[in-house]
This record gives sequence, structure tokens and C-alpha cells, in this order.
Amino acid sequence: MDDQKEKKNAMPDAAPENEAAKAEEQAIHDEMEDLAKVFQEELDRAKAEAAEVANTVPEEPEILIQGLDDLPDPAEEIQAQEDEETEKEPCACCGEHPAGTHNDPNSPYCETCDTGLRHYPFDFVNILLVLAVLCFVFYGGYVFADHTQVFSEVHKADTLARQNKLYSALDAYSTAANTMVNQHINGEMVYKREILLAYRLGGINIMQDPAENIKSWEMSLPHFRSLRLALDDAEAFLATTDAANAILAPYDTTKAEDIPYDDLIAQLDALKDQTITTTEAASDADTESETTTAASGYTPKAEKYSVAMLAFFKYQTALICEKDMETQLAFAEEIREYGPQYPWLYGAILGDLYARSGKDVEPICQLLEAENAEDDTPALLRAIVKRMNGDYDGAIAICEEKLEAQSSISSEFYRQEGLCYLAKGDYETAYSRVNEGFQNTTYPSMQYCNTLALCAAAAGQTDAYDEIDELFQSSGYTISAEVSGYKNGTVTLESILLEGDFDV
Amino acid sequence: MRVVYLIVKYITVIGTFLQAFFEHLVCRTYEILIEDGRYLRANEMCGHVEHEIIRKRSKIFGVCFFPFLFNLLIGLVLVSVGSVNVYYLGEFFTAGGNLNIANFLFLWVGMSCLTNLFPQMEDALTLREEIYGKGKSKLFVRIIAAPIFAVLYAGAYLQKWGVTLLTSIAFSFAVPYILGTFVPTIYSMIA
Repeated sequence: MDDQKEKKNAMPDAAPENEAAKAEEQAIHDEMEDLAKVFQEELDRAKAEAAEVANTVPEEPEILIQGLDDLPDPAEEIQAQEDEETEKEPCACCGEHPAGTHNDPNSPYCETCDTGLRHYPFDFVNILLVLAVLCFVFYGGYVFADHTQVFSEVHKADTLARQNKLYSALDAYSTAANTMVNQHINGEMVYKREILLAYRLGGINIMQDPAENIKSWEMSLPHFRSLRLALDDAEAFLATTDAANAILAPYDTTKAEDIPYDDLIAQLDALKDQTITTTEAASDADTESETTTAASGYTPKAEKYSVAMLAFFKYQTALICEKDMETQLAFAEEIREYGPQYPWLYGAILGDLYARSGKDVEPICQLLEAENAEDDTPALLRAIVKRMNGDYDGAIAICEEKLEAQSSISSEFYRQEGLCYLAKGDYETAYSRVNEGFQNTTYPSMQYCNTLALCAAAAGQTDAYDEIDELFQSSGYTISAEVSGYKNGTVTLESILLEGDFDV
Repeated sequence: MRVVYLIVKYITVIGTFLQAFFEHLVCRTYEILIEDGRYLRANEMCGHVEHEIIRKRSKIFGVCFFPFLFNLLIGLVLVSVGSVNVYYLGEFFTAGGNLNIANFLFLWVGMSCLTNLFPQMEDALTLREEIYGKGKSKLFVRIIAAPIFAVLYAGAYLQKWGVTLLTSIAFSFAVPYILGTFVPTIYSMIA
């Protein structure tokens, strides 16, 4: 209570003291504001001066007064520079200079190495090697140009073969082979294709010569396997021909009725089981050829006779023995049965027999056309069928077309045309057409000569008939009974052309 | 697969060497920095030179295309001679009966060059980036470059696995038939 009383009593005495304190505080505050103003003015002035100094070029002092202590120490400078350099990676190439270039500071190479690596030097040996390869390329170009003619000719032959124009293809291969010989090119694959094409066409005798250009040991290689088989097969054909001719030769000029048909057929059949001996396989001419072949090329080997070829000789035997058409047809079918891959051997025979026996020839024609587009046998078969069916104009049209195209069997087309004119009763034209064919044929067949004799007899060409008769006699043969019978008036033209085998 | 790649590279060593040489030549022409100029190293760079990453479209195209072109031309000439003489004509021996080594060399060197036509995969990818990267080329350039890029890119991929040896062998078999379509015609016009 006493303290409170004291406080209440003291209040009126403290008022002057508070006012003094307030005045003192105000003075300090004013002084501080003045100081802040002064500092601000000083700061602004300093900034202005700094800006002025920065904008003005410093003037060089007229007299440089520098103490020794102010000069930089060269050793320290070098040391500082080295320290700076060691901080950078060295060049990845030389390892001496610091990495980095003017264009690329981050480059791992120094300026010198960078320039060098951008012009990386060539090894002299490498340049020589490249030059050698370039020379080789030019030599290759020269060789290619040298082979272009052969290549073109072989390509032409291949194209013809692909188009099934086999005769033209064989000629083209032959031409190419000659060019190869002249240019000293030993194109074994060309010889192979030539041989296989000849084999496909039945040119057995022309297969051996090109084969001499192929080494004997090569025949065991896979790419010549087909060739080896073809040559061996051809050898079997030749051996069979020799053996069959040895059996049939004594009866060349014998009359049909005097030929021991059954005995000959039995002898031919017996060959099936026999093994070919060397002496049988080669005739005198062939022996000479094989001697040459053995020295440089492959010597074909055949162990067994060709069954298809034996069937062919049995057909021939039936033909010369004038057996009936069924017998001939049976042997022709046998050829096809044993050698379906040889249309050249059975196609024409079978087609002719089919035509004359009134069977459908189209399957055979199509087979032959598919095998060789240049084979005129299908056209001939169609002409025969038309003639037998009485469509003489149709048959003549086919023959004319083929004669214009210079068919390889033109004589047969002349003969068919002559028979058509005979059947039409135009004997003069028949004789002139068959005679024209005769003049153009080097080796006319007996059937052709008989047809010419028939046409001559029909046309009243007695002299021509007598000439043919003399030709037959000089060869040890006689004109067929049908033709001489027609000449003598015992046989009619209709019975020859419209009955039996519809032919002379 | 690296072993297969290397085996193919060393079988076709002439083509490998030529490809690296031409790559070197192009790099030098374009002043591209080559980091390793050895041609026949036993790694993925066999048949190539190791160069800096190229960030310019024309340069990367040149590095990919010109070695391809040069090897293609050499390969075509030699394979033409070799395959015509060996496969088509079968000139295995000379007329004198000796082995015709030149013909087999033509075929081998030609096939070697055709086996080593294409750039390394990294270069092909860089080329793709430079041509077909976003905003890198105009549409016209992209279309014009498409066929050759497709060949180079696919070839680089096949070459990486050594498949180009098989393609070059297959091609060499087809060459005589390809030549047959025009050489006889030209020959008949000239002769």
C-alpha cells in the first residue's frame, strides 16, 4: 500500500524528465537521417565516377614508376602456364599437345593432329594393290569383249533351245563351237549343252566329237553327270546298232518272203541279256575315234544293249519282212515302252502307223511338237490323215505350207502332195510334184522311188518309169508289186491309195 | 555372328580391302577425321576405317554411297567376265589344257567386291538420321534419296550378318542371263 501511495505521489514530478528524453531521441533520429543522406550522396557520386572512369580511356601515366616487387616473376608465370596446361587432357594422337582445336575445343586431338587425321595418309602398298586391281578390271573388260561373240552365239542357241526350236539350236551350238575353236576358248559347258541337245534329237553319231574337249576325270563331277549318262547311253545305242546290223546285214537284198523273220527276232531278243564286249561295241571307224578320245576326253562305257533300240530293229525286221500293221505297231509300241524318253526314235514311226491304221494321231503330234517345235513330222502326220480321209485339198495345203518353209523332210511332203493329186486324178501335176521332190533329194527312199514310178505310170511318163526301174535294178531291188501291177493293169490306183495301208 | 562376319570379310578379302580403301579415299576427300585407318582389323570395323561422327548430310551420304558405287562397278565388270566364262561357257581350262586361273580370279574378286558394297551400320544409321531425322530434310530430298537409302540401309544390315556373300553368289549365277537380255543385241548392232 505504501509503494502505491509513493507512485501516485511521484507522478507530477516525472513529467519534465520524459520530455527531455523524447527530445534526445528526436535528435538522434535526425542525426541518423542526415548520415543516411550523406552516405547515399557519397554512394551515388562514387557510382557516377566509376561509370565515368569505365567510359573514359585511361590515360597512360607519363612516367611509369614501378617498383621491383611489382614486376611479375617469369618463373612463376611459366609455372602458372604449365599448371593451366596440365589441367587440359593431352592430345589422343600425339600425347604431347593439349587436346582441343580452334573449331572444336572439346576435340580429343590437338590442332596439328586434327589436321593430319583429316588427311590420313595412304599406305604406298595399298595404292599399289588398288592399282593392280584396277589393271585386273581392265583386263577383265578386255577378256569380256573377246568372249562377246561366243557369248552371243551361245545365248542365241540357248534361246532357241528354250523355245523348243531344237534344229536351229543345234546349228547355233555348232556355230558357237566353231567360233570357240577359232578363238581358242574351251567352253566345256557349251559342248555339254550341244551334246545333250544332239542326244535329245537322236544325233547319236555327232555326240562324241564335242565330248573330246572335256577331260575324262571331269565326267565324274556332278555338273557333268547328265552328260556322262547321255554318252554312255549313246554308246549303248551304237553298240546295239552294230550288233543288230551284224544280224540283219546279210538280208539286205533278200526278198521279204526269204528272210528268216522268226530267227532274226529271236537273235535280236537274245541280245537283251548279253553283255557288250569291246569288240562288239566298236566298229573299225569307232575304234579310231575312241583311241583319240581315250587320249584326251572321256571314253563312254556301255555294258548292256539298248532295249529300246533292239525293239526298233525288231520293228525294222517286221517292216522289211512286210509283216502286217499290227505286228509293226506292236514293235513300235515296244520302243515307246522301253524308251519313253526317246520320242525321236518312236514318234514318227508310231505316228505313221497310227495314221495308216486310222488311229488318232493327235496325242503323238502334240508330243512331238512339245519336244521340238521345228519337227515337221506332226504336220506330215496330219497331212496323211487328211489324205486318207479324202480331204485332199487340206492335205495339199499343209504340204505346200511346209514346202514353202523349206522343211527338213520336204521330200515326204512332195510325196504326199503327189499322192493327193493322184487321188484327185491330176496325174500330170502328181508326177511333176513328186519328180521335183526327187530332184531335190540326195538320198531318196525306196518308197519315194516307188511313188515316183507310180506317178510316172499314171501320167504316161514311160521313159521316166523305165529310168526308175533301171535305178532299182542297179541297186539290186525291184519296183514294188503294187506299182508294177498298176503299170501292168492288174492293180487299180484306188486299191493302192484307198485300201490297205493307203500308200505305195 | 561376329565370327561369321569376319570369316566372310576374310574370304572376300579383296573386296574388303577395296571397300576400306574407297572409304578412306572419300573421308580424305571430304576432310573427315579418320581415327583408325587400318583396313583389315579383326573386329566389326574390318573393311571400314574408323572416322569421326559425321554430322553433315552430304558428307555422310558420300561416305556411304561412293565406296558402294566404286565396289559395285568393279564387282559388276569382274563378275560379268567370271560368271560368263566359268558358269555359262564353262571355260575351266585353257585351250592348252591348263587350269584357267584368270577366270576363277575374275569370279572371286568380282564376288568379293559385290559382297562388300555397303556401309557400316553406324554410318547407315547416321545417314538415316541426317535424311529422315525430324526437320533435317525437305520432302523432295527424302523421296529422291529413298531408293538408294533403302539399298544402302538394307545392304548394311545384311552385310552385318555376312549374308551379302550369299546374295553375291546368287547374283553371279544370274548375271549371264541378265547380260543375255542386252549384250547379244548390242553385239549384233556393233558387229
